Amino acid sequence: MKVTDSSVIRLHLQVLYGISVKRLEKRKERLVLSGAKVFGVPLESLPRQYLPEFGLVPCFLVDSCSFLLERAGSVGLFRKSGSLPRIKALRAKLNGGEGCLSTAPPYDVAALIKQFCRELPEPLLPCELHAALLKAQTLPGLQDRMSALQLLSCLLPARNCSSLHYLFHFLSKVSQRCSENLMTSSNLATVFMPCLLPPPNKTEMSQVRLELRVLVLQTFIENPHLFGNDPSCKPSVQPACSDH
Amino acid sequence: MPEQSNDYRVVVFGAGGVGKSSLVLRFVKGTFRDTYIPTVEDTYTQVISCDKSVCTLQITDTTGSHQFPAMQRLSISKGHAFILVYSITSRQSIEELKPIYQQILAIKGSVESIPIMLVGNKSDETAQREVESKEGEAQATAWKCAFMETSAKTNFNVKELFQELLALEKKRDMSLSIDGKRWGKQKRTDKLKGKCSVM
Repeated sequence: MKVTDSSVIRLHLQVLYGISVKRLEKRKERLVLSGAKVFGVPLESLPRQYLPEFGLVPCFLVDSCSFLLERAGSVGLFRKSGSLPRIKALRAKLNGGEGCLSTAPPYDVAALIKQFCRELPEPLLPCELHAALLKAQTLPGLQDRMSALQLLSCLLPARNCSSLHYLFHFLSKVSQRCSENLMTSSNLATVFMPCLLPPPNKTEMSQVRLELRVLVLQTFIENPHLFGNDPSCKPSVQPACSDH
Repeated sequence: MPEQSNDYRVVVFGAGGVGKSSLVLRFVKGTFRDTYIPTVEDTYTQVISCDKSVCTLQITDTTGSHQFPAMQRLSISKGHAFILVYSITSRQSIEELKPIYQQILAIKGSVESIPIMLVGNKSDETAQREVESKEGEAQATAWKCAFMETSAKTNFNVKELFQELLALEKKRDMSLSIDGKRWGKQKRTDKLKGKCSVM
């Protein structure tokens, strides 16, 4: 049996950690009618580039994150807002297929990365997984928490996994410069929560639940390898599988 | 659980890093922290006097970095009064209040009977000033709301801000002081920093 088989993963999450995961709904084929090239475009229709370490990642993410890595010392990156009219103009250019990041202020580009994540027709972390991710984050042992989160990442479609791996790897690099930019992993997780793990309803908007959402993202920023495909750091699924 | 009916709810809005939490913490705890921590959402409660009795002043400190639209609507519909904060060191930050003001107007229908205070914070940072007091005043006039400059850092106008805001409420007679007691007895609700053992 394949390690990546989602039913095996689900069984493990259920048996080992008491986490049951909703089925990911089959995605409908989406047509992009707006003609937009970057924002609001489904992941599979975006221009992507292959990076050996991560897989296929949207070119916009690669370009904007590489741009920001060179400016990662900017204080309050991703927290401070850029100029709204400038952001709008930049966004229109990008959506028209123009490459125009090189002269943009870092805060504008950071705002666009957040917009990009928010506006994906299917969120990078599908809603069906949210409850399970939050439950995994509350497991008492650090090792269990990591293993459960990693198993959950294995349930993601490959294209989501590559982009998330890339994004969290980037955010972890940004957080390593927190003595200059003041954006620790916790701060970055807080400002990315509405983009990556937005609460779906009123009950999920309580402070406790919101802060749990932040903690899930913080764990991912501190451990981007949880999205990696390196089998050597996969949790111990194999021995348990051989029991069958 | 139904909301307590005599709660008076104040919601603080504004862009990231303008000092919303600093203002609230200065008011509630009397302290200023020079740390750099964005807020998810925090609620603080404080007992105040209201119509010759007491009621709970509930202050919701919101996130400055893109609040989820449904959450913003929820905060606005629950709020009785609003504090709109910008930093005098950032023209951008006053611009960002415009959509929030429009949203309040849209949800409440009219702002005539709703206490709203436009606040230019960081008034101590005169060397970095980008927004003149006059501009803040003009914006407040256009919005038919009150205006004040504050500094959470130097504790300038902070208590006054809350006092003025409560004085704007015509439906109730509220004041920060409680007879025979000093104001400032407060408790923080629901905050769970770095713990996740609730479930």
